[in-house]
Amino acid sequence: MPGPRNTATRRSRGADPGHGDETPAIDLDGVTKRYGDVTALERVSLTVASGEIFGFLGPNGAGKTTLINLLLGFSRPTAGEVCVLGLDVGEHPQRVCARTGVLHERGAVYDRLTGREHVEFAVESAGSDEDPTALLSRVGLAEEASRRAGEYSKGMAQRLLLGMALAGSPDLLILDEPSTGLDPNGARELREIVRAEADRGATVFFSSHVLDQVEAVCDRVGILHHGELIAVDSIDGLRATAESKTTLTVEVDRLPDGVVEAVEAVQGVAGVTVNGTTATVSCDGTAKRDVLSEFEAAGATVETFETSQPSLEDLFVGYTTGTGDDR
Amino acid sequence: MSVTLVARKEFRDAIRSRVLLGLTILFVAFVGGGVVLTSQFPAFGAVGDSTVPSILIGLISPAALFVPVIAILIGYGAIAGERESGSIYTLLGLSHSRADVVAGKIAGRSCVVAVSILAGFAVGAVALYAVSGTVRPVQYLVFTAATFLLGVAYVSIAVAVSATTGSTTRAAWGAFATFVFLNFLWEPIGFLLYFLTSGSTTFELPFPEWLVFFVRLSPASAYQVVATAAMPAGHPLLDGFRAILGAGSDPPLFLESWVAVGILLLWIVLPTAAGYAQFRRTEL
Repeated sequence: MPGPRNTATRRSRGADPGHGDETPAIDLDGVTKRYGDVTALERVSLTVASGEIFGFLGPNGAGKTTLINLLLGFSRPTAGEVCVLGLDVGEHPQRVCARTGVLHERGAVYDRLTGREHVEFAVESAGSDEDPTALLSRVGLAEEASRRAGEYSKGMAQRLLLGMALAGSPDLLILDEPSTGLDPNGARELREIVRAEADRGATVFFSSHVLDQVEAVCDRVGILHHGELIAVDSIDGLRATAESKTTLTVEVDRLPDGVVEAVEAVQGVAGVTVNGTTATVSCDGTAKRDVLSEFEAAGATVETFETSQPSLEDLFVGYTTGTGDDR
Repeated sequence: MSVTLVARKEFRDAIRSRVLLGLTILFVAFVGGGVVLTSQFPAFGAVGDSTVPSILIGLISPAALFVPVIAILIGYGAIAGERESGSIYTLLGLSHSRADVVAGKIAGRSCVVAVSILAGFAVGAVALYAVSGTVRPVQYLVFTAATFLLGVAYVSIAVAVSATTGSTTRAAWGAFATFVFLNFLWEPIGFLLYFLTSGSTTFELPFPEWLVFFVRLSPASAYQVVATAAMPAGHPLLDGFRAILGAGSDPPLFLESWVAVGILLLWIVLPTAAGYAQFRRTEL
């Protein structure tokens, strides 16, 4: 239960943005969640360091909310271990929630209570003595504070839930699709809040189905697809991966026998497709020269060639659509 | 305290939705109107000294139906409704434990029922004084307290049913079925057992003590015993009632009136515990 002692701990953590804490904010080990025959999560292992902003990407239905429910103790894993802030969630769901601010994708407001009453409720629930007005203006709802939340637009309700999640300066913020319903301005304000919370020393776990939302703020991202964590990397690492996925389009005068096989054998080439006298080679950016000389060596004359690199968005879409057939 | 916070939120919501107001009007009409109405019928009317008990007795049977129905209407959406809308994620995300949610819901909604019952009985006391010239405060307060306990018991039952499902429709049917079972089937089941075990084909008074106790285990019957506990013998309706559900002149311990109070309290505690046990295991 959130008592005054708890608040004091939080404040001292809040005042010291240092990352000296060795305990990971989130530590998942082989987490599997099944509903009957349906596997929602398959052996997910993930560590999010204290103080990190982690982007959790995946298309709708990938299992992001299922994972978040496990992090909060709202449901229990079929197998594996879920530790949040160094605590076993199954054993201490309240202690985890008391130190965590949650904006849940399925979370709703109470239609008949005002915005201010919501925030007051959150502040009191966190055992904090913050000024509700300050929180309301942080999320841009100061003007609408005395209106009933039932009259709020989707975006305003989302802001209200964000304001409630911030109450009590939590050590961990779990934001599940927080940009839903926000206009571009609101999305920018959200990013500013996320950065400010991270500067304070909080860990932010930011889930989204849109790469744009997390690209700008996150240190690292994980990509979830069909319940499996298929990539965990820094944004820079993802960029490097994108560069490595170069597509080389080569126009030749003719395609001698065996040239396709020869090009496929080149180090760094992932695949070759042919259409008439046009060959499309997917390869590492560094393999470009080797590919071209292989065409020449086989007796073909390269008339034109073109290289293209996927954007991060292409990469994300590729991750989450291309591998769908594997299952 | 977390329970208090949840309870306060529930109460505030009842004020906003005008549920509290509507319910208060309903209870004022029920108790006040009931007092005036029953005093008009000769069977209930002024019979010398027993005016007050006879009017109150006239109210008991309707109250044993009316109060549960109202309490179920107040309680059935408590948790299923929050799961349906999604606000349960907000509530649990604010670190309220599931125990606090169940207890806070029951406490908050019981307060709503309590306030309206108290308002109703306050007006009823005035009406009673107006038609009979006296109130008999002990009898009246015992009657009021019993009605309050019955209301809280059914709020607990309804919230417990609400804790078992994520659909308010199912919660409503479940709570209604529980009400029908307890109010209309419990007693016949007791009599069925009586006929089966005694081989008798007619009612033979007095009933065996186990049967009286069994019937008293239902909240509505326990309520009737408690509500009339402070009333003296000598009124034909009350004596008739006691001949069936009563315990005779020298009752065994388990047929004392205070045991019936315990039964009502158990109907508050046990559903609360069962609702929590169910909700604790629920995966959201």
